[in-house]
Parts: sequence; C-alpha cells; structure tokens
Amino acid sequence: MTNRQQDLLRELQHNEHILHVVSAEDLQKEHLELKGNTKLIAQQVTPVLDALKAAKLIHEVGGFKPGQVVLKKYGNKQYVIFKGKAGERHVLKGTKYLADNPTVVRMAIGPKGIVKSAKGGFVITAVLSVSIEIFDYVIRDTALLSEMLGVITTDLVKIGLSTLAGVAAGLAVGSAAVIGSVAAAPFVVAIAVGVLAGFVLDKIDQRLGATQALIKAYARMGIMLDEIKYETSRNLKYLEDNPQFIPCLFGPCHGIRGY
Amino acid sequence: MSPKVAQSVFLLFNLIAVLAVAYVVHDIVNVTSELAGKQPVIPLDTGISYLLLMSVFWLLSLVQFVGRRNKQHFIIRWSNQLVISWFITTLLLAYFIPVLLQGRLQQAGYIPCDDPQVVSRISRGASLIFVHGQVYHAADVQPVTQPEQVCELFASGLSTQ
Repeated sequence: MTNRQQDLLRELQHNEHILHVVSAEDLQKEHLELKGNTKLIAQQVTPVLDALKAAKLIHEVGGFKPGQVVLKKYGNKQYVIFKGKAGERHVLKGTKYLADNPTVVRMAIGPKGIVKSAKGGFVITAVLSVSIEIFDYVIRDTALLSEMLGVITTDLVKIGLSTLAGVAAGLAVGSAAVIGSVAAAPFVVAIAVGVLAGFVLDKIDQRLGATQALIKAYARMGIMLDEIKYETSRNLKYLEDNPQFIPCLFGPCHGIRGY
Repeated sequence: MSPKVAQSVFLLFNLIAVLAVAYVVHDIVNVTSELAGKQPVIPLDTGISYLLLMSVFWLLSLVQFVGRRNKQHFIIRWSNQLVISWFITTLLLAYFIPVLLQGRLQQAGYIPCDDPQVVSRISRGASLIFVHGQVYHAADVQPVTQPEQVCELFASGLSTQ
C-alpha cells in the first residue's frame, strides 16, 4: 500500500461515523417496554425535588436541630423567624423575614413557599406526563388522538388534585403547633399525601371509567367534527356546481326553504 | 392557615393514615391468602404499599404530644432525623413489599399481566393481574407457556366478557 493510500485510509478511519438504523417496529417495541419506566421516572421527579429542597433548608438552618424556623404573626403580617447563629447561614442571614419575602419563598419556607414549591412540582410533573403521552401518540401506529386527549385530560386533573392535597397537608403541618418547627415535616407529608391522593384518584378513575368515558367523548366529538367537515365541503361543492344559489346565502331566495 | 384549622386538618390526615395503612395490610393479607388458595387470577397493585408513607403522621402526632409536655425531650431534639428516617424506612418497605410479593407469585407459577382496565395512571407502581400459567392449559390443545400468550389470552377473555 502506498503512502498516499495509507493516508487516505487513515483519514477515512479518522472521519468514521457509526449510524444505527432502527426500524419503526423496533423503536415502537423499545418504547412500549420503556414507557413504564419513563412514567415512573416522571413520577419521582417532584418527590426528589422536594427532598432536595428539604435537605437545602436543613443545611441552611444549621442542621437537624428543630425549632430553627418559626412562623409568627405580628399584626396582620406573617413572619418567618430564624433562630440559631445568623452568621452560619449562607442565604438567609437575617433573623426575621416577611413570609412573602422572595428569598424565603424560593427556599420553600412558610405557606407561600410551600405553595410556590408545589406549583413548580405540578408544572414539572404535568409537562413530563404530557410529553410522554404525546411521544407515545407520535410513535405508535395504533394510537388514537381521542385516546391521547382523554389520558392527558385525566392525568392533568389527577396531578392537579393530588398537588392540592399535598399542599393542604404541608400547610397544615407547617402551621400546626410543635411539628411546625420540624423543617422536614411539611415536605415529607406533602409527598405522602400527594402519593395517597394520586392513588385514590387512580382507583376512582378505574372504578368509574372516567378516562374511558372521556376517550369515547373525544372520539364522538371527532366523528361530529368529521360530519361537520363533510357537510360543509358537500355544501361548498354544491354551491360551486350551482353558483346561482350563492346569493341565497345572504338573503331570502325563491324556492329555498329554511333561510 | 390558622393553628386551629391546621390542627383539625392534621387530625383528619391522621385518621386517613390509619385507613391507608389498614388498606395496605388488608391487601397483603388478601394476596397471601389468594396465593395459598391457589386462585387462578390474583390482582396486585404494586403502588398500594406506598400508602405506608402516610404513617409518618403517627410519628408527627407523637412528636406533637411529647413536645407539648417537654420541649427538651430527646424525641423533640431528634425530631428531624426521626421524620426523615421514618420516611426512608417506609419508602424502602414500599419498594420491597411488592417485590417480595411478586417474587412469591412468580415462584408459584403466576405470570404478571398489565391490567387492561387501567388507561391512565399517575400514582406509583403498576396495576398487575397475576394469571396462573396453568389456567389456559385445559382449554387449548397446545399448552400455553409463553407469558405474552397467557396475558393475551387473559386480555381477550376479559374483552369478550
């Protein structure tokens, strides 16, 4: 082999790219196998984020010692009071903050913080669940639009309701005597109640067949829309073939009933 | 939320926690007795055990009860660690209980099939129906051994009902 040939060969090897061609059937099969796992991961995102927030808060208030954060009401305003050494804290260096202080809310402390944290959790879970369903619809040949819309609608309602239940539990524990000062408690109960609410809603849906009914309703709506589309195009075609009737669209016409 | 309302909601959740944990225990007993009775079809929801997380309310009630009497009690001093440990323990239990049950069912010759009635699910785990591999042997000339075939036959049996 000449030097030139060797150089060419080296150059070709250097620019080598491996392409894997996957058939649509294989991709669908792989997707169906992985769908359960991806949904599972989507379900775990919010609890993991909550746990991270709780860990951050515990670290910020100087460890596991309880009573480091106390909610107090002076006049009409609610305050978050931090105990312990202010100098050891990294973000909240003061001792008293209004409950709606942006930094306090960002750290998921106090009622507004819990609500904001739950809102974030809802958005993440909703986006992930909807994306999985849309991807499933795009990739699966047998998937129906009515099926996707029905599942997304019930999923969003269920995620919303379980988030609300979690928020209510987190707020109740955060405002209750003694346990309100346990930093990890609101997060833990919000996760527990969210899980319970999700489970109960799934069981209700399974028992009543709400998703199935919605899918059927969407399918019926689709048939109705198709009928309307068909009727409209049929009438337009009629008008194209009989242009003398076009003025009848805008006023009474001899021999035409039902204007 | 006012402390009075918060306390009422907290007590309500405590009551719900009792029902949730009782439901988990009832379900485990149910599956075990169905397995012992060699039922042809055993439904198992692997997400039920996550309801054990609700038991954290009992620990919080204990913390509150002790805290109202003695703020220096070790339960109060260790409350954060206790809550987190309880949560992790119940989470581990919730993960391993269905794994154990599924293992026992599969050892006994049951095949896990997806519940065809479940269309949308947001809660943890999966709704499974364990069908015994022998169920479809008598009806067919060729014995059904493949798990997919058993599940397909089971699903088609449900849809024709």
